[in-house]
Amino acid sequence: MNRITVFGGAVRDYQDTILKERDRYTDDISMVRTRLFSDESISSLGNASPRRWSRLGIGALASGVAMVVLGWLVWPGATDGMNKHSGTHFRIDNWVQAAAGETREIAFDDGSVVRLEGGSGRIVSQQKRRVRYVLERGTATVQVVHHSDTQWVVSVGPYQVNVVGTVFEVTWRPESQYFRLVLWEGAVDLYGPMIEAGRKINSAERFEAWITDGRVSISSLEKEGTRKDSDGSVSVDGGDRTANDKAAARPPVVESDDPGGRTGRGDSVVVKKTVTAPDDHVLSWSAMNKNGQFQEVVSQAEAEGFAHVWTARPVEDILALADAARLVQRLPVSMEAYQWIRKRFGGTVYASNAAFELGRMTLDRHRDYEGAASWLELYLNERPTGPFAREALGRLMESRQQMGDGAGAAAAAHRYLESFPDGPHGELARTLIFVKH
Amino acid sequence: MTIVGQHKNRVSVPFIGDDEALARALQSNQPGAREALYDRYATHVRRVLVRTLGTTVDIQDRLHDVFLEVFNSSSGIRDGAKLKGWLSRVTVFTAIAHIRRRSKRRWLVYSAPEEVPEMAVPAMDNEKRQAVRDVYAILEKMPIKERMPFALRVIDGMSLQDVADACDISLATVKRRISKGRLRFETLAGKYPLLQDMLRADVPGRQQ
Repeated sequence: MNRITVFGGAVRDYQDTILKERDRYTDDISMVRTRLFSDESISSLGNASPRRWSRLGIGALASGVAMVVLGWLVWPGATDGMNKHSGTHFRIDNWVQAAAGETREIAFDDGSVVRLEGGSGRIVSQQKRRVRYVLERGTATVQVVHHSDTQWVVSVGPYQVNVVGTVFEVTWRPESQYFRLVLWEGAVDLYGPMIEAGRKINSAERFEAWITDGRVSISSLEKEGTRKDSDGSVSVDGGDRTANDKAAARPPVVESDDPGGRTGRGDSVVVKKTVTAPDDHVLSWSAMNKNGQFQEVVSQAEAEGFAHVWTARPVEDILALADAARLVQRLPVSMEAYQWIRKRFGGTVYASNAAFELGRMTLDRHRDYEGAASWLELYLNERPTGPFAREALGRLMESRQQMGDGAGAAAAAHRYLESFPDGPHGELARTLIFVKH
Repeated sequence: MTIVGQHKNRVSVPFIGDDEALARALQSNQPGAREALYDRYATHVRRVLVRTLGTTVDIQDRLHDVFLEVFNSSSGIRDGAKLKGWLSRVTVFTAIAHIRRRSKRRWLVYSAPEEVPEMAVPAMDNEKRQAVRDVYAILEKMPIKERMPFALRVIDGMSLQDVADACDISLATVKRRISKGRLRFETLAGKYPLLQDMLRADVPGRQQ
């Protein structure tokens, strides 16, 4: 079997995994079957041939070009009026921001609602009832009305919530790496750090993660007496959050785009006007990464000037740039980004994670075993029980082995087996301990 | 050929018969034949669409397009025993039409309505995801006559004869195009280090 055949198989396996995952939330085969064989299907056009229909479709698109140029998204899938709110079209991809204590809503005409409290988020894409929402920071209550073709994906920090119809609340505090999901109705599948294989979160459950500490907690809302208010809005008794949230959260710094000033605490501000996008350079690089716009992130950084980025940008932006640069093979940029994170934010979890990433790149890309070992040991010294500890130890073993440092490799192997006896490097670790140098 | 609308109260009866019988039923507008064809081959068609166009394509719209074309052109089935191959051919040519339409719309700022953001797959690292995106970025640069046979043979693993049937070309031609497609792909992949890593990955059983 030659290597390109093996390579093709790897691509095939990846696609099949995507399709299998997709089938959990959307039944393409059934939905298209319904479209093809329903009374209202295109087949009722009689003699219209598909090719002719396609030409009509292109003609309709051409007539919509002017609206596209103006910046309105008017796709065929959007004309079912999902985004209409009080006669005003909400513009996809615009940031919606709410100051601390303020609430902003995006309402869809099928009854689905996203309610943002004290943070920022945006709808990245929307096509019929397939919506992708990114919560950049803060808390969002998401109420999704179930239809047969409903498929929402809500990205919250490093977590992803896949939804077909439910009511839930998500919170993300990037400065403290704290995540919370509260499920009021329905069930969702949650994926992310410490639950990479996914976990179903059921109605009346709360999931919390403190990523820095590598800790998660799942608790029942029923035991606490939390409830959903009779007016349909969702709140915890007393309008308060859990003690853990208070301990973990620091108020995000966001600015309201309401020139009239903030409304009272707890008041809802419904979006009655078109919200304008903030400057694309602010708080958008991590969201752009989630959308796969890696090259654009790097281009924006270049346009701004890397020197300015390193010294003036917040850590989330530099992290996003480091990731994006790595993925578009601008490795020197990526490595410099991580090094600046260590320089500017030393002592933080970001700096430690940057040491791990530097170790990983140094090993994988440059095969500099000694350099990699230094970075990995630095990470392990700073975060011995951090979320990357297992991988760091595994790679440290490899690095030491490749350097010919048998004693060092065996020492790392002992540490690995003490903490992660069933880890993926377990076999290597056992081999290293019994090899005589 | 007139496409007949469906009645609300029609009950679907499973079609019992091989592909030849199904092809005959389709061509004679037998009730339930279209549904039976769809039920039998929709998964296959979806798979071929994903292999040739990637996973960012709007799968449902493309699947719908294929079967619409299938129902409109079932009189073109020459050999009922090769029904699946004929379906693959319609799928490939529908995919080609989509590629050509999309390339005409490239000047639009936003991604074409047929493309939706890829659904993030849990536990899949970004590098693997990016590598597969790179694969389809390269396929976009290849001539369609090389891209299609290459994708069907290398990514889907289709037999050479099936690829030839799907692309409506001879076996000799398909071999030549796949060979050229491989060379072109490997050359273009030189600009994508992630792909180079994948292409250089150890092959099971090979000597180091």
